[in-house]
Amino acid sequence: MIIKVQNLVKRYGDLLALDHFNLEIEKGEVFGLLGPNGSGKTTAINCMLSLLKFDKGTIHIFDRNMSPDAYDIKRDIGVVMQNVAVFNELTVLENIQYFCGLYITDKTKRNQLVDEAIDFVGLGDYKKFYPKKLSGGLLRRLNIACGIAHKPKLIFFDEPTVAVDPQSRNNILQGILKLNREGATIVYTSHYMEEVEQICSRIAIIDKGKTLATGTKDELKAMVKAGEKITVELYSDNDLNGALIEKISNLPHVTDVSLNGNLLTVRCTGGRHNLIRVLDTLKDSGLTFGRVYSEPPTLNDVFLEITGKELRD
Amino acid sequence: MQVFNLYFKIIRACKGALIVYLVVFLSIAVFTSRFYVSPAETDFTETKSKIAIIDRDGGSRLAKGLTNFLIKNNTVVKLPDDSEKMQDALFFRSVEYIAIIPKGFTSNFEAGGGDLLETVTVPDSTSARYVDMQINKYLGAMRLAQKHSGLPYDKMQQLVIGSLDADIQVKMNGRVYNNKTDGFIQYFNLIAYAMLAVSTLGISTIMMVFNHPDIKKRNLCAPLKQRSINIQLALGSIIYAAACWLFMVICSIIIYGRSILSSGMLPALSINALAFTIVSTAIGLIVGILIKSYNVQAAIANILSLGMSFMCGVFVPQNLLSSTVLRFSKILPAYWYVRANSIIGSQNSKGHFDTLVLSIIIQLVFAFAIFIATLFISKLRRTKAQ
Repeated sequence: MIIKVQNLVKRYGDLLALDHFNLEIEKGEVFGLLGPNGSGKTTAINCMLSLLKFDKGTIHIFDRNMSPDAYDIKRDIGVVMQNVAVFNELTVLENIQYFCGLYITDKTKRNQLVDEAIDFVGLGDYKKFYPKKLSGGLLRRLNIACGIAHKPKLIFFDEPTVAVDPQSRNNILQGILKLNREGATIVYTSHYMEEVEQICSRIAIIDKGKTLATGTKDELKAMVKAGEKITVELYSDNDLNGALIEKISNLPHVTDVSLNGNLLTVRCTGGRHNLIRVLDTLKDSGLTFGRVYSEPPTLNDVFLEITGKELRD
Repeated sequence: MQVFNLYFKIIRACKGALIVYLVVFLSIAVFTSRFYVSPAETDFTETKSKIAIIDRDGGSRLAKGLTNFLIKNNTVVKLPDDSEKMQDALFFRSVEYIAIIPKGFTSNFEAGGGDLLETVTVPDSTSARYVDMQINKYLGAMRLAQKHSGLPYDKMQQLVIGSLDADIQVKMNGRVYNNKTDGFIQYFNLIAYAMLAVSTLGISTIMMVFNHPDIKKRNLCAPLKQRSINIQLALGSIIYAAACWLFMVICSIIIYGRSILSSGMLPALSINALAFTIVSTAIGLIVGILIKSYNVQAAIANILSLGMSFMCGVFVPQNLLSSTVLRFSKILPAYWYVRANSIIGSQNSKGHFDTLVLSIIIQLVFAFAIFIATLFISKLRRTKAQ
């Protein structure tokens, strides 16, 4: 076990930030911590890194108790913070050298690792640039290089793609997967469910400081009743009466039907012919329609099902 | 030693602002050394009194000799032997002293008589007293020569005038006090301004960088003890402050050369400057902990360096400051630094040795108090953050 967190409790005055939070992460995983802003993701990571004192619980990393002076554990951990933590007074190269130097004392080895980190994030052309001259995406890449240059076994990525353009975001996500392929265990926090779905092998959904559910994305999606969401864009001259809505509601596997303007939304549990049945019913009733969408459940649906609110609320 | 190395890389990054302060300091210092004229120096410049001589003895040999002697040492204004015009001349200060040589002056003198001259002067005039002394000196010397030399009158007069005109060579066994002394005391006073500016700017920049929450967090994630980070930062601050101090002391030697080296004051001035360097370092540390914005930092650096300098007598001598300002400035370390410099520069510094030591100790107490306050605030923030 790379990380084992048990019954972690952290209070900020009257606010309960972590409420008996539990977590287990195996070696080689890309583990996602998914939750809305303020759910306790960063607090959990800060406790795991011993940046915050906690009121109750235990944290073990690499099967050893984590504490502020557990330097042998810290040596194998890389951290990429939510906010870019680099020195504006140093160049790109000097920044990476500094942070790598905190872990690696041998100068030759350090220089080699720094070069590798620069190649990894693609900042070769910006070595002598100062951070203020870099774009948001490049700055994020520098932040990552500073966190991973010493080749850690465990890397924490705390919302590394906030305020990053789509192209840079994709580069960052691909880079994280590459690090994982090279042997690093990744802990990735985000409130972007698409990202977590894209790269994480296992996911924990947290809210109000509690772990609500843990599993692979398929395991999590299997937990929800809604297996499919069918959206039909009806033409405006249609007359969709209450009787027809009831008819659709009575179809097999249908759990919920709603009409919002000219958009008809039908939620169904898992089934093979849901879409065809709904469309046939509309056709038999003489209704005409344009676009039709059929979506599998998302992590947002999972979150909605568990908490009764949207992930982005 | 990553943190220690980083310390000087950051200092190097803000060298532009630091150089500006040092250039301002050195410019003022060089200007002071070239153009500073001590009030004490001008007090001792030889001056000539404006006098008039009325000779009623018809140019007798003693009257002639005295007249020549007075002409040599004073500015003689011609006046007619008219009491009204003499009164007018004194009233309008065209002369400060009128010597009236009475009839029978020479014969009376040679007969050993007293009260030889009549004088009319401006009331309470120091010039008049000075001219009185000259006349007494001349007549006293003439009487001495007349009694004991046995020389003919002409030779005797030459001997007296020659001896009175002789330059006296004075060799100072102690310090040489001149405008150079005041110049380098002023230079060392100015160090307070420069040191406050460069410490506040340099050390507080480092503290701000390392106390930035994201950087602090990132450093704490590394396998590096907080104590090690603190020790490296302290070592960097000590070396930086010591380098600034050394630079300013060396500049004093370059600017004032032998005069400062031979004055014997350099060690005391340097020790006092070192004490103030420690105070400035402490101020730099606390400013770095308290402020978060670089704009505020520049403003604080200016307010502290200029404010304290003006209030404590760095730019303007302390004796010209009002008692209210001085009363307030006593709670500022720069006051005690300037005061210590004044004692070192005074002619009787040995007599004020205890006060000098006390002034330096007070500065160190200030530094200690600020260090303790810095540690307290730092600890308070750390606890709050967790």
